[in-house]
Amino acid sequence: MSTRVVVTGIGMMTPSGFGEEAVKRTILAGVHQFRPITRFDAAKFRSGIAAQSHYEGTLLDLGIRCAEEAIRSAGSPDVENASLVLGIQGDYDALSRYWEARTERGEYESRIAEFMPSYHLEALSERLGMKGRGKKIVLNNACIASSNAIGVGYELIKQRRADTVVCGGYSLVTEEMFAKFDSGRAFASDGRIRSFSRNRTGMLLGDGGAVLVLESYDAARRRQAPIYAEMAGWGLSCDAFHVSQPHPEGAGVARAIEKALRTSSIAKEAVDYINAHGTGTAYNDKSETLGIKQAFGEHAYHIPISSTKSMTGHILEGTGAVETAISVIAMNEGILPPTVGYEEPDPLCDLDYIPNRPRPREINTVLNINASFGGNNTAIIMRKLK
Amino acid sequence: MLAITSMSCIGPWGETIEAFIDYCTDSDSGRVDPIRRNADIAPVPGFIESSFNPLVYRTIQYFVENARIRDHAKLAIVLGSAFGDTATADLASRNLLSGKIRNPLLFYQSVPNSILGFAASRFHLTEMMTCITYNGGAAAALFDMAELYLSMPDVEQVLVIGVETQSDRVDEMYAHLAKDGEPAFSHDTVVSLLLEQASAVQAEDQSPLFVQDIVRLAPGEKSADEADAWRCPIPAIGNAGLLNLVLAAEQLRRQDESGGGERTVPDATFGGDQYAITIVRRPHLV
Repeated sequence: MSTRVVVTGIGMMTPSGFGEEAVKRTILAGVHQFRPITRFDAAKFRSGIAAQSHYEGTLLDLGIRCAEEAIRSAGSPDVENASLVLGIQGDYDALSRYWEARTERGEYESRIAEFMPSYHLEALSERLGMKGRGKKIVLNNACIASSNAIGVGYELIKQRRADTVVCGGYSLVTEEMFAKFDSGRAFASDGRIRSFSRNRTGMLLGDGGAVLVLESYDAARRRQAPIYAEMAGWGLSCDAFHVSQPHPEGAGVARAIEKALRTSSIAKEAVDYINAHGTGTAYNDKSETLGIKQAFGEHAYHIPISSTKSMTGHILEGTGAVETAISVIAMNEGILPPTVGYEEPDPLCDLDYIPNRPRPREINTVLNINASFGGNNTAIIMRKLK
Repeated sequence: MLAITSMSCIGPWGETIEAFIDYCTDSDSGRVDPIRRNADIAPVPGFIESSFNPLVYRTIQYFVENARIRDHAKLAIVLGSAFGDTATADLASRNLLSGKIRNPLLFYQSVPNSILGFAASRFHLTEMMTCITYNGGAAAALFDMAELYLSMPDVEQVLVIGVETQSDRVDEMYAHLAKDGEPAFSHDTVVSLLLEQASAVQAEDQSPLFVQDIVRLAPGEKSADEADAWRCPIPAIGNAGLLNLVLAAEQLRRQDESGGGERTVPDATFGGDQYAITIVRRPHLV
């Protein structure tokens, strides 16, 4: 009999703060979190806006806090023998401090270790007491890193290589990453993400992270764990098109969705909501729309879709896990989060994007889509446990 | 069980396994210039700031051009690196520190996906591409991911790639991080293994080898085969285990049956743990 995979714990931070309540208070209410950056001097950049949270700790501490909260919310999972799969980038502030110390004082800055994602993996593993022989894996494939991590967690359980997997990712707005996106002219010129809207001008960054506890259904049932959702399936694909631009017809997005539907063994018509990658760039939103249409056919017009990045900003490596967690919370609350900042219909993006206002709706199955540089795409399907 | 059906190994020695074996022999006898740690590698358009991306592209190109990939739509790639593209990361960081913030090349070059996307577009590779990182133990980490992906229905072969580049920052970090006490230095190296399920090995695959066992040993714990373990004489940070594996595999291939049918190689992590990886000519199926 096939192993079912369930979500038994969620620990998360969005730009509006830690926990599910912050998500319900802001994202499910359609409140965006963009504001002028205060974490560093952004005057030298083209944009000075991000969904910066009030969190002031390090990236590593953010990961620890999300993971500890996920485990706490899962009750008492077998953490000692659990696997840990993270999708993260290292701490660029640690790299900046290293070069500052090296250049100005000729000293070695030991916090540079936190620039290595593998250091986070070891630190979290030790902090959480994962002393067993569970797998420890860290992925650093940009904006699909944490959704890929959740997919790997799913496979570990599905293939019976693990019973419990702690997985997810996190990211903070740093000056280094901000400078790179600024030099790539990727930021929205008007300080708002207007995903799928004709007048969209680009993306903005945001703070956040999410860690999920995945367990086999049998393990979760044995210990009477709370079950947030069943992870029904996932897909990962490559566009084979361009270094940084998405496939113009959304071919890779469609393949990822089709794989997720196939592994989930669910009909297209069963998908009640799509949390789109929806970065707010001209290229992404158009090709993602085409990819959704290719995968769902005419039914695409009947699925409510939103980009929660329009409120949280793009959380880079953490975005897949955060948006998966938001989708699960939305499903359990029966509220579709909107695409805020949506102003003008775009003939190239002609689906139902839940413009500006949340929508109450019975939701049983959600799909989260993410994409990254290199043309990589992920699709994750979560549903209510039946 | 994993089968290794093809290998590639590029570094300061050149682009062939034969050159690598010669380099190891010369290194053992002190005939190698220890200062030379960079590889001569053809540039890749748009990826000009670092050797990281050209190394990755060249190794994928090798497998494509040598017809090792049976179906481009069923090949997954797992790209691994302990330290990543340090040249790009450091250039961006130092630019920012000195007030130079306009280098759009660093925008996409800063993530390892980009070169995979470039290769995918050139060679029409549409299956899963994943980038991982680790603190040593590269071979074991890459094998873990390969096993996982090969158990998925759409994947027939997995190309695992371990890439590291020469960097003074890496040398400095390694000196602070490594707990095994062995001196090592960063080199431009990329080691790739084409893997598939042992049960799927086809007749045209010449002399495949099989990964019989991967055992994780705690610091101080010795493998029973430790004395016989095969070690590459090049102390390359990050890729040492993979280079050990290539050396052992090639020697296994070159020897006749009387030389024995298996080799165990060490694959150390920076934290002091070590994997003992055993490869065999013929799998001992249980």
